[in-house]
Amino acid sequence: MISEIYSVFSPSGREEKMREYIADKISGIFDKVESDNFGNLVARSGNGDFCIECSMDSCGIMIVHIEDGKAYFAGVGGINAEYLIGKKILFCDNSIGIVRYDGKTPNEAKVSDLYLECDSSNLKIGDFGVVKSGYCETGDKMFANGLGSKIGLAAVLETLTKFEKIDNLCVLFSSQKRLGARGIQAFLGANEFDKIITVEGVADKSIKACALVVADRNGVCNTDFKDELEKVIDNIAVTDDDLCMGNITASGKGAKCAALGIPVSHKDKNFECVKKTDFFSGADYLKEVIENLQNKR
Amino acid sequence: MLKKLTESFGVSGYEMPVADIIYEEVKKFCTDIKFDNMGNLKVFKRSKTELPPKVLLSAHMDEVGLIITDVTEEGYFKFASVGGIDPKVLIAQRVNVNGLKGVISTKAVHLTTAEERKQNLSEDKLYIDIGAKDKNEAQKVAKPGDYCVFDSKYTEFGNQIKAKALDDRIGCAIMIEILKKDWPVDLYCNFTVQEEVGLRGARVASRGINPDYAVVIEGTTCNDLPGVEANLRVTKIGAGPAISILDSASKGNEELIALLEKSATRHNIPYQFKASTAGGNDAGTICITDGGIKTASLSVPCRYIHSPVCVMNKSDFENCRRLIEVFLEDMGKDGKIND
Amino acid sequence: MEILKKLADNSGISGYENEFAKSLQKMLESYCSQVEINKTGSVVANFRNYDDNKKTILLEAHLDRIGLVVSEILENGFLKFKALGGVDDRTLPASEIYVLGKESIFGVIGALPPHLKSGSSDDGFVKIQDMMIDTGFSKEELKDKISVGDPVLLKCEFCELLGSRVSSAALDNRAGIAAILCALDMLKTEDLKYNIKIAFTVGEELGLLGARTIDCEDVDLAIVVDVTHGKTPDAKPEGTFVLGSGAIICRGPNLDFGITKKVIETAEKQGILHDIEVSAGNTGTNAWVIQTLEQGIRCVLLSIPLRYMHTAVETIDTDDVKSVAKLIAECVKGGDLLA
Repeated sequence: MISEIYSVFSPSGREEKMREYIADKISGIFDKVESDNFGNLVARSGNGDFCIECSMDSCGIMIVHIEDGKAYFAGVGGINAEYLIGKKILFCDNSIGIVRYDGKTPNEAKVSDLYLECDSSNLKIGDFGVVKSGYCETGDKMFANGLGSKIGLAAVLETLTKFEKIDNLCVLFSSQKRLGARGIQAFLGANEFDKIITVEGVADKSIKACALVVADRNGVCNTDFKDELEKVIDNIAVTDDDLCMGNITASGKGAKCAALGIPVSHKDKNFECVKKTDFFSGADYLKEVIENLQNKR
Repeated sequence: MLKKLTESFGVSGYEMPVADIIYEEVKKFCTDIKFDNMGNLKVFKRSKTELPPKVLLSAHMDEVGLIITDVTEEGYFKFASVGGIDPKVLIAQRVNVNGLKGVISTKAVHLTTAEERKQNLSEDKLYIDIGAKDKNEAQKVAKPGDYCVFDSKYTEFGNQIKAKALDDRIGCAIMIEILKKDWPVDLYCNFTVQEEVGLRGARVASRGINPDYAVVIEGTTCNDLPGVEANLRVTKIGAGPAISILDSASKGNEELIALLEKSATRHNIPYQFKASTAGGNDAGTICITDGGIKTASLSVPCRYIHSPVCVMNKSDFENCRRLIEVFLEDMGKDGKIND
Repeated sequence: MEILKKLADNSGISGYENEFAKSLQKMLESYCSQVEINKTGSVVANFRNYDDNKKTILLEAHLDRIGLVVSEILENGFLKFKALGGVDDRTLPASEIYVLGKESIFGVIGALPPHLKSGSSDDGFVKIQDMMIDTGFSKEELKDKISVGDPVLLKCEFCELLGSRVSSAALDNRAGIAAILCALDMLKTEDLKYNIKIAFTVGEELGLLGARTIDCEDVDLAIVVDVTHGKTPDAKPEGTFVLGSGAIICRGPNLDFGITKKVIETAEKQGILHDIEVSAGNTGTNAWVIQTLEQGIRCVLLSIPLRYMHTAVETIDTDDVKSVAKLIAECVKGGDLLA
């Protein structure tokens, strides 16, 4: 399943294929699975006040200009020009393009200096593309371009699909997280929770195993919530990365927020890496958290 | 009306003069008009039909300008820009300070060295000169915290119009025209404040409406000048209003964009797409309000935006208005079902 | 001054405000009818009686202070940490701290001496990632005392300097809270034309977090109290204020134009020392968030000049705290702030 997730086309703002994929995978587990006006996918059972969040989207590109068989583009989400050179870009209809740079200094290249070598007759301004993930595994390691952006989603799906039925939980598959947690803000503006766990990849090198992140760049986890979760996840960490904890604690009516961080190495470089042990321990932690919630009812 | 609007004074945080002009005009044909606590002007026009869809149109009243930060002993004003202004466009410009004229410049070129001429000036090195003899005289005219705007007259030339504040008096003018007529939708028109300092008024003004669709009417960058690479031009003057797909603040809702395209094609109105992901407007705060609103932006291309000599094409302006009008008419016919 | 000392000696680090919030709740109970801690940890209260027919003024100040948080416990009992809020890391080496874990333990921040570091030739300032806290314990001994995620307090006790000047860590924003408490003291027996609500919010230093979730449904005006930059020999004269300048009143898009003018007039009429600060956009205070809550909230920002912001040796003039308190009291008493 993990490799499937990385082959589903879902750049920020164009996650419709991912919504379909997820809805299919978790069919029957929740009372209701639907999209909201913003494009988030929300799976919900019961009226409980606990929410698990992960994002559906990955960074990508958008075509801005086509001329002489070359397609020029802008970045969607934070994307580095040098990293893009020579990459294979996938479009919604499975056609491809290769990123080219004709200059002499790749480390100084800007996105506007690059272009796609592709079949431009099929493309138009506003088409979105993603870097082909090239997901592969060896031993304990998983590799892919952009592995980190959907690793939270992969862990959540890995966990959810182990349940036949879940009561008393809301799962937010959020849209446009790479563009500034927009889906989260839209959703929390209209839905109130007491506790939220966000599941994300963390690039912070000091976090060496799957961890409960209790403080990120802009947010801190409430001490009571931390104590509760520590019974399940005993590896505690803090990070300077932005895992949206601040935004989540302050959106809508406010909530307690913690992050489940899955370490990602070589982030934003070719073939990011996640260790399977970290991934599966993350999924196990989530499973236990959900089971505890079920038993509370 | 566009002339009156662009020549009026309305910097982010002090939009009252513009709001008053709009209010005086709109009250001639609308009754449901409200100001909120931020100064947003919200107008509602009920549909002429039963069970209508709800549409929100939004344009901001504020323009980029300057705010006085200090008065020097010799009677010059130090200032900061409100909203994004490139300091280069400020040099040798005239401004309007509380009704009086002032000039911004630096020392004469004859008094500069070659080194100095190469450097870019930052705004903290610039000052406004109103001809005051000293601090006392200057303070009678304006104090720190008072606002200034560019001194730029509305001028028609060729097929184009030059004015300050086309961003976004264009949107305001179009909305006023639209409010004159009746529509088969429940129409909400928000004239918002403080867009230029962070899309702030729209965040408040769009709450509690829950429209089926929201369209932001704006002025946007146009860089279609000789010497600019084709992929950096963003929009083209004369090619019609531009629909934004993705910018730094929001992603245009596909369903709504498709409806706009459909109406444009059906009624033969030219349009283009904004070929860039840069910039941002009120759609950014509207689209995440109240659980999410389907929002898109329709903009008139403006050369030299955020400068005293903003330039747009008359037919782009007309076509933008026409496109909104046929969109509203079509909404009434097709409802909110997409085919 | 006593109140200020008491407030400054409390921890209440951003994200870990619980205990301080409870102390503030107790302090406020002697002035206020209902004092609660809301869902996100901020202290909110109604001062004296609440009358549905009266308009409501909110007095707001953030209660959190910057600090550090333990990120790793090293083999030899040294601790790595990261900042909570905008800590100036140049000021950290040679600091005394307390780790607030199950036990409160004393520690010292040293650093790798530059001549022992491998080859980096920067300006000599040590980066926070390379700093460590020396606890004097071994990792084993620390196991039951502290853990990763515990907050770290920058120790610096309140001390009096010459005249009415004082220095302490956390004067940002305990000075603001003190000003509000003094104002409440002055208003204890007055006949009030307005309801007064108080909010001491959390998480401001992390990104104006607490202000986003205060209940402002009935608030007609918010007076936000914070600190601003005091003049020092090495800082630009614009935007910094001599200690002793009084209450610094801010003008700009974030603040209500008309009401701020009335506040300035009140200060002039009542002979309260004051000066004007100008902010062209984001004031960097909770006023930025509060202005766009609900249907928009009119804001006024009063600040106390403070030198060496975000260090352990913040310095103010307590007379300025009194000026702010007096200005708040006079404005609220006057009854014509909100026409």
